[in-house]
Amino acid sequence: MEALSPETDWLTGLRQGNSAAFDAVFAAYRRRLYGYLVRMTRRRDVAEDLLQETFLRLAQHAKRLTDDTRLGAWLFTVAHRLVQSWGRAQAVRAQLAGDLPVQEPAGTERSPLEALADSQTQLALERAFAALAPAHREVALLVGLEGLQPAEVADILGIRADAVRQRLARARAHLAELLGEIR
Amino acid sequence: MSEPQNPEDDAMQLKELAGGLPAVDVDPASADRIAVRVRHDLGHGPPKRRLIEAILVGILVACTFGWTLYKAYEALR
Repeated sequence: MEALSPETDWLTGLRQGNSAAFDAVFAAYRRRLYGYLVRMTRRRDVAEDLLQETFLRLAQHAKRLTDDTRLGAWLFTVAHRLVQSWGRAQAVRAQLAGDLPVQEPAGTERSPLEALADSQTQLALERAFAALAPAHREVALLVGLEGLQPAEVADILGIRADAVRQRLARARAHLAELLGEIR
Repeated sequence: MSEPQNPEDDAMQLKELAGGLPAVDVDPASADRIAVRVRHDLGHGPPKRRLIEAILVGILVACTFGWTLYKAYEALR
Protein backbone atom coordinates (compact mmCIF):
# COMPACT_ATOMS: atom_id res chain seq x y z
CA MET A 1 0.00 0.00 0.00
CA GLU A 2 1.29 3.43 -0.90
CA ALA A 3 2.16 5.57 2.11
CA LEU A 4 0.53 8.99 2.33
CA SER A 5 3.05 11.67 1.50
CA PRO A 6 3.32 14.79 3.66
CA GLU A 7 2.39 16.70 0.51
CA THR A 8 -1.21 15.59 0.89
CA ASP A 9 -1.35 17.23 4.33
CA TRP A 10 0.46 20.29 3.03
CA LEU A 11 -2.03 20.66 0.17
CA THR A 12 -4.96 20.40 2.57
CA GLY A 13 -3.33 22.94 4.89
CA LEU A 14 -2.57 25.34 2.05
CA ARG A 15 -6.18 25.21 0.85
CA GLN A 16 -7.27 26.11 4.40
CA GLY A 17 -4.80 29.01 4.55
CA ASN A 18 -2.78 27.24 7.24
CA SER A 19 0.55 29.01 7.92
CA ALA A 20 2.16 25.85 9.31
CA ALA A 21 1.51 24.06 6.02
CA PHE A 22 3.07 26.95 4.13
CA ASP A 23 6.10 26.90 6.46
CA ALA A 24 6.59 23.18 5.76
CA VAL A 25 6.37 23.71 2.00
CA PHE A 26 8.68 26.71 2.20
CA ALA A 27 11.24 24.72 4.20
CA ALA A 28 11.03 21.78 1.79
CA TYR A 29 11.31 23.72 -1.47
CA ARG A 30 13.05 27.00 -0.63
CA ARG A 31 16.64 25.79 -1.23
CA ARG A 32 15.76 23.74 -4.29
CA LEU A 33 13.91 26.60 -5.98
CA TYR A 34 16.51 29.16 -4.99
CA GLY A 35 19.31 26.94 -6.34
CA TYR A 36 17.48 26.64 -9.64
CA LEU A 37 16.66 30.37 -9.81
CA VAL A 38 20.12 31.62 -8.88
CA ARG A 39 21.79 29.32 -11.39
CA MET A 40 19.37 30.34 -14.13
CA THR A 41 19.53 34.10 -13.54
CA ARG A 42 23.12 34.22 -12.19
CA ARG A 43 21.96 36.95 -9.81
CA ARG A 44 21.15 36.54 -6.14
CA ASP A 45 18.89 39.61 -5.92
CA VAL A 46 16.81 38.50 -8.91
CA ALA A 47 16.67 34.94 -7.62
CA GLU A 48 15.32 36.19 -4.27
CA ASP A 49 12.65 38.28 -6.00
CA LEU A 50 11.59 35.36 -8.20
CA LEU A 51 11.59 33.02 -5.20
CA GLN A 52 9.22 35.38 -3.39
CA GLU A 53 7.01 35.66 -6.48
CA THR A 54 6.89 31.86 -6.86
CA PHE A 55 5.66 31.41 -3.27
CA LEU A 56 3.27 34.37 -3.60
CA ARG A 57 1.66 32.63 -6.58
CA LEU A 58 1.38 29.49 -4.47
CA ALA A 59 -0.36 31.46 -1.71
CA GLN A 60 -2.69 33.15 -4.20
CA HIS A 61 -3.62 29.88 -5.92
CA ALA A 62 -3.72 27.78 -2.74
CA LYS A 63 -7.50 27.33 -2.81
CA ARG A 64 -7.35 25.89 -6.32
CA LEU A 65 -4.78 23.20 -5.48
CA THR A 66 -6.13 19.66 -5.61
CA ASP A 67 -5.02 16.52 -3.76
CA ASP A 68 -3.24 15.23 -6.85
CA THR A 69 -1.28 18.45 -7.44
CA ARG A 70 2.42 17.64 -7.52
CA LEU A 71 3.76 20.56 -5.53
CA GLY A 72 7.35 20.27 -6.75
CA ALA A 73 6.33 20.27 -10.40
CA TRP A 74 3.82 23.09 -9.76
CA LEU A 75 6.44 25.29 -8.08
CA PHE A 76 9.12 24.60 -10.69
CA THR A 77 6.63 25.38 -13.48
CA VAL A 78 5.92 28.78 -11.93
CA ALA A 79 9.63 29.40 -11.35
CA HIS A 80 10.42 28.43 -14.95
CA ARG A 81 7.80 30.87 -16.29
CA LEU A 82 9.13 33.65 -14.08
CA VAL A 83 12.68 32.99 -15.32
CA GLN A 84 11.42 33.12 -18.90
CA SER A 85 9.64 36.45 -18.33
CA TRP A 86 12.72 37.86 -16.62
CA GLY A 87 14.90 36.67 -19.53
CA ARG A 88 12.59 38.36 -22.05
CA ALA A 89 12.61 41.60 -20.05
CA GLN A 90 16.41 41.44 -19.88
CA ALA A 91 16.62 40.96 -23.65
CA VAL A 92 14.36 43.99 -24.25
CA ARG A 93 16.43 46.07 -21.81
CA ALA A 94 19.60 45.00 -23.61
CA GLN A 95 18.16 46.10 -26.96
CA LEU A 96 17.06 49.43 -25.54
CA ALA A 97 20.53 49.89 -24.09
CA GLY A 98 22.07 49.50 -27.54
CA ASP A 99 22.49 45.75 -27.77
CA LEU A 100 24.94 45.54 -24.91
CA PRO A 101 25.07 42.06 -23.38
CA VAL A 102 23.22 42.07 -20.07
CA GLN A 103 24.62 38.79 -18.83
CA GLU A 104 28.35 38.67 -18.37
CA PRO A 105 29.96 35.62 -19.88
CA ALA A 106 31.69 33.39 -17.36
CA GLY A 107 35.08 35.03 -17.07
CA THR A 108 38.02 34.64 -14.80
CA GLU A 109 36.56 36.60 -11.88
CA ARG A 110 34.35 34.79 -9.40
CA SER A 111 30.66 35.57 -9.48
CA PRO A 112 28.84 35.70 -6.09
CA LEU A 113 27.57 32.22 -6.84
CA GLU A 114 31.02 30.90 -7.67
CA ALA A 115 32.31 32.41 -4.44
CA LEU A 116 30.35 29.70 -2.63
CA ALA A 117 32.52 27.02 -4.15
CA ASP A 118 34.99 25.82 -1.56
CA SER A 119 37.14 23.78 -3.91
CA GLN A 120 38.55 24.06 -7.41
CA THR A 121 36.31 21.18 -8.50
CA GLN A 122 33.16 22.96 -7.31
CA LEU A 123 34.31 26.17 -8.99
CA ALA A 124 34.99 24.35 -12.25
CA LEU A 125 31.57 22.69 -12.10
CA GLU A 126 29.78 25.95 -11.33
CA ARG A 127 31.51 27.64 -14.26
CA ALA A 128 30.79 24.73 -16.59
CA PHE A 129 27.07 24.80 -15.73
CA ALA A 130 27.06 28.59 -16.16
CA ALA A 131 28.60 28.23 -19.61
CA LEU A 132 25.76 26.03 -20.87
CA ALA A 133 23.03 27.55 -23.02
CA PRO A 134 20.14 28.50 -20.69
CA ALA A 135 17.81 25.88 -22.19
CA HIS A 136 20.41 23.15 -21.68
CA ARG A 137 21.41 24.41 -18.24
CA GLU A 138 17.78 24.35 -17.15
CA VAL A 139 17.33 20.70 -18.16
CA ALA A 140 20.70 19.76 -16.63
CA LEU A 141 19.69 21.37 -13.32
CA LEU A 142 16.19 19.92 -13.20
CA VAL A 143 17.32 16.40 -14.05
CA GLY A 144 20.83 16.41 -12.58
CA LEU A 145 20.33 18.42 -9.42
CA GLU A 146 16.61 18.01 -8.73
CA GLY A 147 16.44 14.40 -9.84
CA LEU A 148 13.29 14.95 -11.92
CA GLN A 149 12.37 12.55 -14.70
CA PRO A 150 12.52 13.80 -18.32
CA ALA A 151 8.72 13.45 -18.58
CA GLU A 152 8.24 15.68 -15.50
CA VAL A 153 10.71 18.21 -16.89
CA ALA A 154 8.81 18.17 -20.20
CA ASP A 155 5.60 19.07 -18.30
CA ILE A 156 7.35 21.86 -16.40
CA LEU A 157 8.92 23.38 -19.52
CA GLY A 158 5.89 22.75 -21.75
CA ILE A 159 7.93 20.83 -24.34
CA ARG A 160 8.03 17.22 -25.57
CA ALA A 161 9.94 14.57 -23.62
CA ASP A 162 12.03 13.93 -26.76
CA ALA A 163 13.18 17.53 -26.70
CA VAL A 164 14.14 17.19 -23.04
CA ARG A 165 16.20 14.07 -23.79
CA GLN A 166 17.89 15.87 -26.68
CA ARG A 167 18.77 18.84 -24.47
CA LEU A 168 19.96 16.44 -21.80
CA ALA A 169 22.37 14.76 -24.23
CA ARG A 170 23.66 18.09 -25.48
CA ALA A 171 24.08 19.45 -21.96
CA ARG A 172 26.01 16.36 -20.89
CA ALA A 173 28.25 16.46 -23.97
CA HIS A 174 28.92 20.18 -23.55
CA LEU A 175 29.67 19.77 -19.84
CA ALA A 176 32.07 16.93 -20.63
CA GLU A 177 33.78 19.13 -23.16
CA LEU A 178 34.01 22.08 -20.77
CA LEU A 179 35.22 20.03 -17.84
CA GLY A 180 37.71 18.25 -20.09
CA GLU A 181 39.14 21.63 -21.09
CA ILE A 182 39.34 22.76 -17.47
CA ARG A 183 40.86 19.53 -16.13
CA MET B 1 32.70 10.76 -21.71
CA SER B 2 31.32 12.73 -24.68
CA GLU B 3 30.36 9.83 -26.98
CA PRO B 4 26.59 9.37 -27.59
CA GLN B 5 24.79 7.66 -24.72
CA ASN B 6 21.25 6.68 -23.91
CA PRO B 7 19.03 9.14 -21.96
CA GLU B 8 19.37 7.18 -18.70
CA ASP B 9 23.18 7.40 -18.90
CA ASP B 10 22.95 11.11 -19.67
CA ALA B 11 20.71 11.65 -16.65
CA MET B 12 22.92 9.56 -14.38
CA GLN B 13 26.07 11.35 -15.46
CA LEU B 14 24.42 14.74 -15.00
CA LYS B 15 23.30 13.69 -11.51
CA GLU B 16 26.88 12.76 -10.63
CA LEU B 17 28.17 16.09 -11.95
CA ALA B 18 25.43 18.22 -10.40
CA GLY B 19 25.99 16.46 -7.07
CA GLY B 20 29.35 18.21 -6.94
CA LEU B 21 27.86 21.71 -7.16
CA PRO B 22 28.09 23.79 -3.99
CA ALA B 23 24.93 24.06 -1.88
CA VAL B 24 23.20 27.42 -2.18
CA ASP B 25 20.51 28.92 -0.01
CA VAL B 26 18.79 32.25 0.32
CA ASP B 27 20.15 34.15 3.31
CA PRO B 28 18.09 33.70 6.50
CA ALA B 29 16.97 37.36 6.71
CA SER B 30 15.63 37.29 3.15
CA ALA B 31 14.00 33.91 3.75
CA ASP B 32 12.19 35.33 6.80
CA ARG B 33 11.10 38.42 4.86
CA ILE B 34 9.72 36.26 2.03
CA ALA B 35 7.92 33.92 4.46
CA VAL B 36 6.27 36.83 6.30
CA ARG B 37 5.17 38.41 3.00
CA VAL B 38 3.74 35.16 1.63
CA ARG B 39 1.97 34.19 4.89
CA HIS B 40 0.16 37.53 4.65
CA ASP B 41 -1.28 36.57 1.23
CA LEU B 42 -2.06 32.95 2.07
CA GLY B 43 -5.66 32.00 1.37
CA HIS B 44 -6.64 35.46 0.06
CA GLY B 45 -6.75 34.46 -3.61
CA PRO B 46 -5.33 36.51 -6.46
CA PRO B 47 -5.03 40.25 -5.76
CA LYS B 48 -8.04 42.39 -6.78
CA ARG B 49 -5.71 44.41 -9.00
CA ARG B 50 -5.58 41.42 -11.39
CA LEU B 51 -9.38 41.42 -11.75
CA ILE B 52 -9.45 45.19 -12.36
CA GLU B 53 -6.68 44.82 -14.98
CA ALA B 54 -8.65 42.07 -16.74
CA ILE B 55 -11.81 44.23 -16.80
CA LEU B 56 -9.90 47.24 -18.15
CA VAL B 57 -8.28 45.13 -20.88
CA GLY B 58 -11.71 43.71 -21.75
CA ILE B 59 -13.18 47.21 -22.09
CA LEU B 60 -10.22 48.33 -24.22
CA VAL B 61 -10.53 45.33 -26.55
CA ALA B 62 -14.31 45.81 -26.88
CA CYS B 63 -13.87 49.53 -27.67
CA THR B 64 -11.17 48.82 -30.27
CA PHE B 65 -13.32 46.13 -31.88
CA GLY B 66 -16.35 48.45 -31.95
CA TRP B 67 -14.32 51.29 -33.42
CA THR B 68 -12.89 48.94 -36.13
CA LEU B 69 -16.40 47.77 -37.05
CA TYR B 70 -17.66 51.34 -37.18
CA LYS B 71 -14.78 52.41 -39.45
CA ALA B 72 -15.32 49.41 -41.73
CA TYR B 73 -19.02 50.25 -41.93
CA GLU B 74 -18.18 53.88 -42.75
CA ALA B 75 -15.76 52.86 -45.48
CA LEU B 76 -18.31 50.51 -47.11
CA ARG B 77 -21.22 52.94 -46.93
